[in-house]
Amino acid sequence: MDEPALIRDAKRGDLDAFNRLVLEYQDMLYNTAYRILGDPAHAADATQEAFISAFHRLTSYRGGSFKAWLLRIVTNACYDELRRQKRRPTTPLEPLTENDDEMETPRWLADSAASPEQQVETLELEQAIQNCIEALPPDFRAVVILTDMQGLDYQEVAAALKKPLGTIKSRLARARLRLRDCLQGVRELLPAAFRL
Amino acid sequence: MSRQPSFRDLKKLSTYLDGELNAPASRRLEDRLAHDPILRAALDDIRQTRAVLRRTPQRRAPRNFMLSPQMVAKHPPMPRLVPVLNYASIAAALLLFFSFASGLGFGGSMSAPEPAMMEAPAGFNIGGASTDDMAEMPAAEEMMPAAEAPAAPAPAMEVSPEEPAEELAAESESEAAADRAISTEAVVSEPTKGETLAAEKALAATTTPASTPTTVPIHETIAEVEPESARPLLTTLQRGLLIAIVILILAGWIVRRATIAKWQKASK
Repeated sequence: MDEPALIRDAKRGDLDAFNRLVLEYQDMLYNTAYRILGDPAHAADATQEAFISAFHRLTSYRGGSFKAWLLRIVTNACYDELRRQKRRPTTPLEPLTENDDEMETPRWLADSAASPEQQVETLELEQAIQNCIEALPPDFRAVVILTDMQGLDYQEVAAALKKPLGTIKSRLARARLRLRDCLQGVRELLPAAFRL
Repeated sequence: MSRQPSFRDLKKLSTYLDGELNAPASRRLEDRLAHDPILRAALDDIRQTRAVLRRTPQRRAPRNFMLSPQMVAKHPPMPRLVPVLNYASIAAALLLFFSFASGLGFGGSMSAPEPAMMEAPAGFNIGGASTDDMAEMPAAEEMMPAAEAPAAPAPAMEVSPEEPAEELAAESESEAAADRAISTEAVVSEPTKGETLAAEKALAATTTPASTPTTVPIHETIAEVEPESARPLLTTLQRGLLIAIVILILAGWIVRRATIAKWQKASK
């Protein structure tokens, strides 16, 4: 995929070119939105909003990491969604599990080669980590997700969140310490090599 | 001696782990790590936490997020009310601007000449005092702060305690009127001796005869004039226009947002 050419065409209004970029980045954006918002439906809405916004704002993309640029847009979309939720709290329509999590078929578990036990363990691990992430304040959550889960460097995260570098370093350190303490509570779910 | 690492140390460890700590600070930290097992343990903890996060299973997008032409239509059709509200608010804003520019609605139109009114030119006698006494009178500009701080009157300008309050009020009103009439000339040039005498006579006709020349203190005059000049900043018309502008802009915004929200809902 020739990303610069696709971006160039998309800037000229070529929707098909932009949709090829959407296919390339939609998993990453959805993942980020889900980690920040903790809800699949809201994460899907935020992801869709982010792509629409990205298409409209393509003229403002002036080079550099397109991934970081998209992540900035989806993070802002998530913050908007969090503010909307604060104004209008919602009750989920789907039935909840005993942990108050919405039941859902884990279609997103891509590894069809894994055994059912492995799939369940993976699901439980993922849920435990997500619970610890959701316990963080939104600002800390975004920093650790962009750095440790999406692989952005400090400068890219600072640009994405429009915060000074020092603030990013401080928030990341605090987020990691809080996650460390939280994950120690679920260490039996962690792979042996990563038990804290 | 090892002790629990401070947050500052932990932040350095976190930054060091990501390779974002500068070279001198990294060297110092590595020296400390070599001798401090507690610090090393803290670094291991942060490293493992980061590793767990990096290994978190990634979720796949639950559906396709490709965009349709309808989704990206930049300008959803707006109801006719929106441009009408926009033009109305612009018209109101223009009217407000012209009302200020033409001075029609100036609430404090008398406020501009005030400073000139208060600057009694040299030799001009407000209260009938002789010109010799004028040398002892402080300058009018110095009287302004005294007027604003009524607790501290100028010592040379104290009112005679015998004068009744109502007469003082009448006096100062007429003097204020005379001052205003005279002040415009004072801006242009100093009054001639003849004009000064004429003004004195006009004032003397309205003042209560007293054995000793009483000088109405300037600060009292100022104090009496001030309430008259404290007119509202905006006239009724300007206030109405301002309120209308705010309401029109708000209404336009509400209608626009509602239309966009309805359109986005329909396009999903």
